Amino acid sequence: MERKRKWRNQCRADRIFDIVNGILMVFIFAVCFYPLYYIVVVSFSKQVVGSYLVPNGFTLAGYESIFQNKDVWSGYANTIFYTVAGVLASLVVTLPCAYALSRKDCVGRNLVMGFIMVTMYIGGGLVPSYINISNLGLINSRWAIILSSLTTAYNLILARSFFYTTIPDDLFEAARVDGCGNGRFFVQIVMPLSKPITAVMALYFGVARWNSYFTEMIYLRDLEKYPLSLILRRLLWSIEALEQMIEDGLIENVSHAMKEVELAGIMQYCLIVVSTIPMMIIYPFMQKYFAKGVMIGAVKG
Amino acid sequence: MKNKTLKKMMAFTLATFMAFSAVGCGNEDVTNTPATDATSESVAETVEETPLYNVGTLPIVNEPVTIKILTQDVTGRPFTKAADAGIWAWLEEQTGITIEVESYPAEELKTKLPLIMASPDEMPDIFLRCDFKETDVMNYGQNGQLLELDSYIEEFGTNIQVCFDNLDYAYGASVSADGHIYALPSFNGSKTLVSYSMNKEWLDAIGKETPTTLEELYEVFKVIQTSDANGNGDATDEICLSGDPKTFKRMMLSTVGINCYWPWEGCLFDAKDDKVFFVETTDEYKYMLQWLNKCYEEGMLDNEIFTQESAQLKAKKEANQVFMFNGYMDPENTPVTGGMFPVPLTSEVSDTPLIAASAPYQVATGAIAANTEYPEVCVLLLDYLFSEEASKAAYWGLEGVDYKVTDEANFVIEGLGEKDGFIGSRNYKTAMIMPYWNRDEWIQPATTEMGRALNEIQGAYSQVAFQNYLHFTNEEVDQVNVIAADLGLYLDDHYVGFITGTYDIEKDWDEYVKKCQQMGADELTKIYQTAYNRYYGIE
Amino acid sequence: MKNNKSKIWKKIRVNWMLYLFMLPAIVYYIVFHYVPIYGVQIAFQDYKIGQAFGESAWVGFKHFQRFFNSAWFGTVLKNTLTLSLLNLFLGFPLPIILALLLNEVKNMRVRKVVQTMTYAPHFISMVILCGTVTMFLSPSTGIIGMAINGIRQAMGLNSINVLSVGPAFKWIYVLSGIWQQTGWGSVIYLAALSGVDPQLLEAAEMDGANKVQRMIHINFPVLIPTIVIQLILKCGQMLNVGYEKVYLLQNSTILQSSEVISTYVYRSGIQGAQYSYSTAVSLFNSVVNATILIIVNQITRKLSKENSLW
Repeated sequence: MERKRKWRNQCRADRIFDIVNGILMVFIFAVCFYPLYYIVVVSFSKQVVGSYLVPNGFTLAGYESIFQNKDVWSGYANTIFYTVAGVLASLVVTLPCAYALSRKDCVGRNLVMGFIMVTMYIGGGLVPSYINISNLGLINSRWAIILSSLTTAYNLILARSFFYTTIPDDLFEAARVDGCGNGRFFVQIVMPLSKPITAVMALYFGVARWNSYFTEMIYLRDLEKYPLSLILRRLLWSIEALEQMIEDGLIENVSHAMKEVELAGIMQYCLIVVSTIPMMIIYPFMQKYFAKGVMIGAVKG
Repeated sequence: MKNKTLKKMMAFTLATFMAFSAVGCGNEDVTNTPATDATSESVAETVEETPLYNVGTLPIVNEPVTIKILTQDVTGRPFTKAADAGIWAWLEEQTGITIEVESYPAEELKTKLPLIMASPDEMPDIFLRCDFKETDVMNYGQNGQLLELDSYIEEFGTNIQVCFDNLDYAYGASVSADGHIYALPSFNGSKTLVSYSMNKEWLDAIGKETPTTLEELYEVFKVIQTSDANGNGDATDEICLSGDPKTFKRMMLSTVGINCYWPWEGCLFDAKDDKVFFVETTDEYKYMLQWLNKCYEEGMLDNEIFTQESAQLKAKKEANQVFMFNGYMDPENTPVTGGMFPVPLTSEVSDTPLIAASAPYQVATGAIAANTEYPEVCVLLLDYLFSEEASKAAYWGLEGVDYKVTDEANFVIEGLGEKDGFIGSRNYKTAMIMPYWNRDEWIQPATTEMGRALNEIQGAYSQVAFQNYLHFTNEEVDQVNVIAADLGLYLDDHYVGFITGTYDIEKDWDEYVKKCQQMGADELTKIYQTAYNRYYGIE
Repeated sequence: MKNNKSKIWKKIRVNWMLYLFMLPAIVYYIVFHYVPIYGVQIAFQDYKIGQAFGESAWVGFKHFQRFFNSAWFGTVLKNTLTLSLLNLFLGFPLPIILALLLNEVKNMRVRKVVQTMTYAPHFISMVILCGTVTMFLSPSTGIIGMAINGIRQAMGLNSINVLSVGPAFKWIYVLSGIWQQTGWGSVIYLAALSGVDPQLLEAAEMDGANKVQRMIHINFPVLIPTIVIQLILKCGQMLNVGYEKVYLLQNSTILQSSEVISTYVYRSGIQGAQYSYSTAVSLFNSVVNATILIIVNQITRKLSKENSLW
């Protein structure tokens, strides 16, 4: 009753807006939904071509092949490890640094920022980076993956900007008068107010690590340490290689090989579905940190 | 020429010497034994010295030696590793060497290889099929990462010498532009043909004979376009000509008498009477483009040929919508088994049927790290791979496991293992992961209808195209890269442009030829001619 | 003078903890980014594979000259800039608008569902995306391709293969990118919108401002700092059009319109790895990008100092 009255009380402009917005949302939903639905449909099909609304020959063969393979399972476990450990490490390194950089009374912060930004533009290249990791004794170590991408200049800038605009300068002054040092201030006051940016950073670092495969490919040698994204890549390459072999006429039994190519093609889609689902599930949990006014209220209080 | 004969003579003398001294094991090589362990020294006090390795007999080593090998995962089989192949256990048994295999898929190896080469501690002892580019092999050799094999082959490479003697291209294939050998190729003896197929049933349906020239083909296309050749009631869904745009070019070039196998993009070269010429400004090439353009404009050429994914082409073939395409028609995959291989087409500008074939070998499939602890053992192992039984195992598999012999006298075999029938190197278990020498007498008569037809009809016209196995020096590579990068892109753009009509072949041709020359086509031709002469030993 | 210096030292001493906060990141950058930076020298050398860094012959600007003198330099530069700028004009505002609109959806369940759906495309690998786009646009079997031709036929035009139309490439590239990244890009703006004071919104509503007005005057200004930073950073990436997507989407019929710097350099390694050349071109890209970044940042400083990067 209350809600209905509120809606009618809204001015006409608002109602029009809500309707248009609603239509837009449906459209956006459909546009995003269909291609994803298509991917799911293909993953249950016998063939990639021809499956638009329903699978072209329903089969679980793709999923069976994937789950039967132990590389996929170990890949999944590795990915989870790299993501969780990596995100924690990245947050610990990035957030305090970004906060420090946002403080106007921090002498030399622009120098540090410049120092970091240079690396966005100049890099040594693949071989020197590899030799570096090798000298540190980290080749084929899981730590190489965690440590070699601890933070990014982009995320530091974003987080710094957030702290800059949401933590007022005089807040620390007021706290210091009460005897609170930088450390305590950061942990007890800044962090609770920074749930949105922490959530965004966790998401950004998390997704980057979840999808990352190149660093893992060059620093790891053991198959058991490979993440799922790399397993997907390898599947892709074997399809391409097999197709190439068929093209070059190196396969005598072409139909047998073609069937394998087909199956591998479907497996690709299955792997995508399997590796994307966790990310899709996590996001709704993150959304509560983006709720309105979660931070302002605390400041006022 | 002189160099080659001298080498041959030396090889023959050494081979004879080796054959005589083989019985006596490698006693004379004791002094060369590297880092001999204490055991042999202390043993020497009481018994006669046992050398680490044996030349000319098996087992290769007399003490446990571990050799690390880096190779590629057998392509095409997702989730399999090279280490699973049965060949390693067999090799270990035969040679007494313990083998550790590290492997990656080709794409991964492509990225990882320069990194491994940059870290001496991580290098394996032997590199098998790591897809080294020829010039990279030379650079690695010169900069001290790969072992220079010349003297080792002379001393230990018995089987390799025999191979060089028997295959006239073997030495040229192995030696780099600076005159040294840093890696060994694998000689599989068979040539892959670039071929095309036509649908016989459609020809019968429209009442036409198999065309033998491009001009006749065009007439056939005209009829197909207006009739319902595939018999499905729709006269408009027939596509006369389609295929994979890359290999399609090779196929068309052969109809105008130009023999190019690889690459399929960029600058192409062919040679007549030992004179190298640049393909893409010749009149024959122009004729081909004109013919293709005519077909494109009249809708006979698949208008998606340059943009479609391979899955789409396959679907069209299966729906029996394509009359002619490059590649193999697999009877089981098409609803109508009308596929056939015609005699290679000729045309007004060329009257010899021609099918381009790949080189019967692959370069740089076996190389040894310079910092290996056991250079002689590695050379002996690679040399062993060229022996009859090892080559047979490497290429065809293990008898009783992968195949059984049905005709002893002629080595005709039947596939086991894969119940769909395979032969040797097509079996993913052992395939193509090391250098070997596949003797001519082992090449199988084709067992599938398709294979037989291909050999019978098109095999006689195959010629190996030389372009992809020339060896360049560093200076030449630099020049080639600078010219070919820009020129290649220009050529690719105009190849498609002339066919689709974006560029007018009548009006723009002269301008195009001039531009090619401006961009360095002539310099490039000179470089290729030098490399060609070097390869064939022409002074 | 002395007074200023001692003031600075005092500040440093008082805030010593802040330096501790920055330390892990600084160490990380030194160890993992600055130590290997010597590799950049090969842009000025004739590096041959297998040589140790520093051993190769110095050739000055030879590689840069090769790039500038190339017949394709103008084309690839133009294509790269076209794709970047189009992406900026179309792709930059959309996440902002999406965030603002999503923020207005009252029903939390609908909001969560739509939000999750919009950000899902980000996870699709480039290979699948490009393969799907190509198949959808096929004039014979793709739903979009067939639809386009259906409309054209209805209008009396002939059917086309949109994948072969040069000017269409940039739209295909940018629109598929928008589909993939808009939802993901809106996340940071949604987070920033949580900083809007709900009391302000209520007060405005009382005063008679409708939703659209509230959105423009209250919600949008909160986003401005984030928007400015994102814009500056994106300008600093102007020449970075990645190799993978272009390579997967292009085909040989539209080389003139689709070849960008990264794909062009990739083709150069015909006979052997071209480390020196590709490093030189990367360096060129970086210099141009950094210059654009500095210029844009300076402009921002003039307009509103606190929103600029430094």
